[in-house]
Amino acid sequence: MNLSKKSISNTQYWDKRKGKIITDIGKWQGGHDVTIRGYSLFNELFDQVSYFQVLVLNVTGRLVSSELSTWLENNFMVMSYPDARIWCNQVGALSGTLHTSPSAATAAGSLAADSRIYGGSQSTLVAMKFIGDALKDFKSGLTVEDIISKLPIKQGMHAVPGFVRPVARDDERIIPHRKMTKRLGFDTGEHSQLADRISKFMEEKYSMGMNIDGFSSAFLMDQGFTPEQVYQINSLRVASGVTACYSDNLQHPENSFLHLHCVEIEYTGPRIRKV
Amino acid sequence: MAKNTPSKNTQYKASTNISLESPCEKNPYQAKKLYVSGYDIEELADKCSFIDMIFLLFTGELAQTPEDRKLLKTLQMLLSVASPRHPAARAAMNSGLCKANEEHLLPISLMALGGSQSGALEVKNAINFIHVNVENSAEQTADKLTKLRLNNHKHIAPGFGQLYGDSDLLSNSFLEKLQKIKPEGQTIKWVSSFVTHLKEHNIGILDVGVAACIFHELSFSARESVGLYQLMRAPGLLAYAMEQTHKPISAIPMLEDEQYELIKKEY
Repeated sequence: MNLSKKSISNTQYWDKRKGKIITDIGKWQGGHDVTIRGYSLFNELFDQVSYFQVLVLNVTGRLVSSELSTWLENNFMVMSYPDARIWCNQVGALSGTLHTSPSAATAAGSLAADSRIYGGSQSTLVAMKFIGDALKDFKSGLTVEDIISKLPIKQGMHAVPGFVRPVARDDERIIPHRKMTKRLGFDTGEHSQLADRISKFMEEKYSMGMNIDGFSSAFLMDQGFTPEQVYQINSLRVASGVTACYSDNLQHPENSFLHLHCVEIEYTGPRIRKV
Repeated sequence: MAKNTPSKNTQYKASTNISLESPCEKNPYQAKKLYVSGYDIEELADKCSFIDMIFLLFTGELAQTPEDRKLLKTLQMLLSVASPRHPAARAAMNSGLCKANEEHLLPISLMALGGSQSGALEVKNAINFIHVNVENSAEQTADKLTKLRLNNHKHIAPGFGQLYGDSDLLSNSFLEKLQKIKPEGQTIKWVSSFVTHLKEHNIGILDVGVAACIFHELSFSARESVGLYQLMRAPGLLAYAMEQTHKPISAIPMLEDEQYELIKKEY
């Protein structure tokens, strides 16, 4: 494609597409059917596959097996708890105290979990990119120690995405995930094998282990997903817990969620002064 | 559960440099005075402008010079209304037209505006780009980037590129206007020189680049500038959305089937 160079305008790309939508994702044929990535919604999907299969189909164009869909749905389920101590849920709870609409509260809480350090959507993106690069390095001859030593140091240790859970605080989701993965008939792929090696190294050196992002990232790389696809599939991962905390606080009197006295906010700014 | 729960009773607390509430003696939950960076908000309301408040909130001090104040005020005015064809403006208008709750309209448009391609995140990336290069030769930086250019649809650097295949006339005009307010500003001088060297390739500064240039000149950090850009864009976005709420949903017609082309693709 050769667009504008020097001072000559060339708007051909935009002129050709003006007033049209050109896409391969699908189309609503009003009163008749809907096409989703080449499948008929009402003849091939509705009442035949799960919502998660359709979600993955919409994002990736792949109609995944019911086993993989079950794995993804269960994985989605455990990323959201009805506990208002968790940051995103607290946004839901505070929105409840303001009688915000449920959609706004849930969207706001979901945005609060669009974070590189928790929430399972962006944090899984980061962890998938890491394990993907790590496997390439490992196959090229680097050891696990070499791979870890390339990462930046934060708080006195190498920051390894997906492997920052203190061993003393087990991630309660890992063992059920291992059992589910086996029950559904999945083999341990090469990303997952490397993740186990990294986990062992981190436990021995830093007393830190794999968290659910580390486990999920390796499995999903083994299943052929890209980090960007998983980020999109999981974009509303914390929604149900946020909505629960919102719902809870709708019922309580105003300003009754972790309410504070004025002096309980520590002021660290300049002394009182005049303009 | 016991293993994962700290045994110490943690007190919920927060701290801030921004505001101090002076509590009411009778009711510890109520404040009788509010201070912002040490100033009584009522005194600020009497003596200062909204722009002064932005400086105070994000730098901890009022504007250092009248020209800095004028620079930010001018940027705020220039950004307060985007083109009605800007994707965030269209997201706002669509949401107004489809009768989304009115309290959602501003957040919807600001969320749409948050992106890394001509959105608020590009302001942050542009500030980082300027910060890394401002000590280097603008001419050499421009030469290096234009030689590396592979895809004309991608911005040559965050904040700089083409709009519909040409240099963005309006944004370049905005930069010239802002340059006149503080011609000796280090960032403004570097950015203006960089843009001059991009000109022969029909590339210029974009709106997000203009915002980044001024925020960097005024020492606002890259992270804070993301939200400041959204804040300055907010009035126009809200107005576009609200205007559409008064119109029937058919005011912007849905495209016909013939205008929707479904391409077959093998997955």
